[in-house]
Amino acid sequence: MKEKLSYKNTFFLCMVCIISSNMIVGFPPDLGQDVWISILLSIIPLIPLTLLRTRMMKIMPEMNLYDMAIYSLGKIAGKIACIIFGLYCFFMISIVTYSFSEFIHLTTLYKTPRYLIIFMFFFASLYLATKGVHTISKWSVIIISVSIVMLTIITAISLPKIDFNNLLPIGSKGPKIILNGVHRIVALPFGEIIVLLTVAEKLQNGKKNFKVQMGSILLGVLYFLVISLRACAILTPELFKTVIFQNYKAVSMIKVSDFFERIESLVTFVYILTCIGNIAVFMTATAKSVKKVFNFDDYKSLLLPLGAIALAIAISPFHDIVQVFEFVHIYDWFSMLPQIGVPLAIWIGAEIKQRKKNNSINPLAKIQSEIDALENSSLPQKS
Amino acid sequence: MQEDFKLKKLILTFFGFFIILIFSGCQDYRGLDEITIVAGIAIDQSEKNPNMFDVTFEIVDNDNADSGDQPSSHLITSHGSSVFEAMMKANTHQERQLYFGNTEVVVISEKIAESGALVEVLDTFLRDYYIRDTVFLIISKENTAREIFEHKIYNNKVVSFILKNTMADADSTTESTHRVPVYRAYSQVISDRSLLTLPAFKFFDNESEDDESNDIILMPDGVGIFEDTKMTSYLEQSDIPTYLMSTEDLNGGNFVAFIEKKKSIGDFSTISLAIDKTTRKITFKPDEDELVFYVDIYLETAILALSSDIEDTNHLLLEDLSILCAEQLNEKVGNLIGNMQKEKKDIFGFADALYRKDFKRWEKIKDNWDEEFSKAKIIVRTKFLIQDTGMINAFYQVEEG
Repeated sequence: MKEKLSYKNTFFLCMVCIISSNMIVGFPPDLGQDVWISILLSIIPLIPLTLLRTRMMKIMPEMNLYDMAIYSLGKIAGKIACIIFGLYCFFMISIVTYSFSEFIHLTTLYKTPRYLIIFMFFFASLYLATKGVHTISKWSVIIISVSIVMLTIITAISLPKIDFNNLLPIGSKGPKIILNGVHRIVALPFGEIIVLLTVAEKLQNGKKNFKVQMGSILLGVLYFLVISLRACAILTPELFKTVIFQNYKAVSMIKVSDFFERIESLVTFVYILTCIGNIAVFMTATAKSVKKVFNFDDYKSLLLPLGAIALAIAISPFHDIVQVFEFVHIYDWFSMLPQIGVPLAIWIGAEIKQRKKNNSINPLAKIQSEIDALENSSLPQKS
Repeated sequence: MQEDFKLKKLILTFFGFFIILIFSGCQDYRGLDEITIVAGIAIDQSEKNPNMFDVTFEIVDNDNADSGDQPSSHLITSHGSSVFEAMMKANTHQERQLYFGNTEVVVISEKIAESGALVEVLDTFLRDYYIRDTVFLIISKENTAREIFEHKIYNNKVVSFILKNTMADADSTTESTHRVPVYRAYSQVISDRSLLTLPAFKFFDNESEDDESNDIILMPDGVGIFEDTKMTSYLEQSDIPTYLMSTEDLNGGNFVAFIEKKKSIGDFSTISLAIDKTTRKITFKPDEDELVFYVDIYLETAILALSSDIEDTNHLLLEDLSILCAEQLNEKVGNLIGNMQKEKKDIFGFADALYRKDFKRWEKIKDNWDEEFSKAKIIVRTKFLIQDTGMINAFYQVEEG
């Protein structure tokens, strides 16, 4: 049995789940210059959701989401929960692969058949997934470090292009649009962090768990703040609303004198790296779901067939890129079931079970255990 | 075992780099011998059919690239019911594929600018995957946009590159013009607040005695003012230095102020200042009942030439000169803004300033903005900092009569 993931690796794994998908889909265009308000406000609903995940890991240690579902909801309801979450992860493989391949197709390899791009993403991600969660987490450390270095460099050289006046007026979009934005941002990208529970048995279950998850969310918030404000300040709110790949487009405007320009390939480079990590995580989560539902021994042998089916779907889920962005609106609501509904049901079931368990313990044995605990604490400490 | 592991690592490293390279590289890369580099695009309304476009491409000749000479260019023209169609037709008729990665300028004719087809032009260039969004837009004041490329000036150099260089240096001189990349023009049109202005160019007779090789010279000639999407008028080139100082942050240029003489012949002498840096800011006072804007212009300068009977350029005197220059620039900017207020054309960004500072008020008056702008109270506050007096302190005094 391999060692558990370190807190550092868990932190970076969370970051990959958070930052990758958003790179393509971007932020709700209606938000314009108020995008930063929605990003900051999204921290509020994320705190209870993180507490929920931490609590689940605490009361059901050494279990992943699927084990937790069976444990707390029973065999039938638990397996239904596994299927719902597995389907979510399965479709996410297709959607993420499609949107990344479409991005590469539109911005870099216009004449390359999209199938080829999808295949390359698929095989790289499949290889990473077969190597296990430890390898994915190590990959995450590298790619997130590279992403942050790139973000710093690109932001530094984009400063002459930035016009902070483009970030005014503040709050002009109104509470409805801003709150809709919060909902979108919580669903995508931050909601994807739920997939971490599918590898929860590999995570350390100490007091730092909440801090690690919240830390990655806060770093994600900072990351998105820089990206969104930079894009809006360079493009102007009007263009921010119009263009498809906001961050990519903003970076393509950066030009330092005549000798340093066209640095958007750096953005593409980061997108590719994070995308591979993200798809690998979803592949692992899907395979684990099928393993649990059908009681297989190993999930790794399921990666290839499941991935292949997801790949087939990824080739033609949408007619065009506009449909991808339309789908995001549906996704905001659809994702609430696996991201909030399923974990909430599992948590409530687990709490009820825990309480029943506590109540069923013999009162005398309970008193005896309390006395033992007191005696242990009063024993002199060995020097 | 150890060797197997190393080999595996090596293969995986290679595989990793392979994936990264093919994903971020150019599958459709073509060598110089396979492409035709388009340096500039000129768009005219078709003479035969006003609903069609004549699109001219200035093509860089690579044939003399090895000889070390400056590249020359030739033109090809294509027709289409849209700019994109014309571009596709031109591509089909070329032996080598047109390459737009080095396109520097897009020239539109006055007819196109006045017809309102600008949005279609902007849409084509922003939507297209091959063309950069940072190409500069200019208006041709010649009969057609194509004529800008037709004159082979400056030893047959590529005209688009000359225009691009003029644009690139635009922020370091007050004698150049306003530069507007495609993406800025588009965002200004769709924002529907302050009016879009685009630089206009035309050929002038070359009056320089030093340069006899060219009888004509391509120079900026004012800026075209767009209301909605149609160009309705021009701002004269003589107003451009003032316009630039009130709308852009510059890194160079010059300013000449007139000083009343005490003793010498004539009424005035001049002080010429080299501008090191200018910053400008338009602010809006939200509390006032009427619309009150402040235009603050700050200039860091140095004395370049001074012809007067002032005895010594001491500190006190420099302050007086600063105030004098500020008064004169105030007047110039004030007059220009006043003229535009009379014409109800906000080309300075007052609407943007109001929108950013007091969004609610903007929402109330935006439909009647032209009228509101014409009535707005605009206060210009200019400050000059004369940092140095060059290499001399005193100056030659002219004796009276």
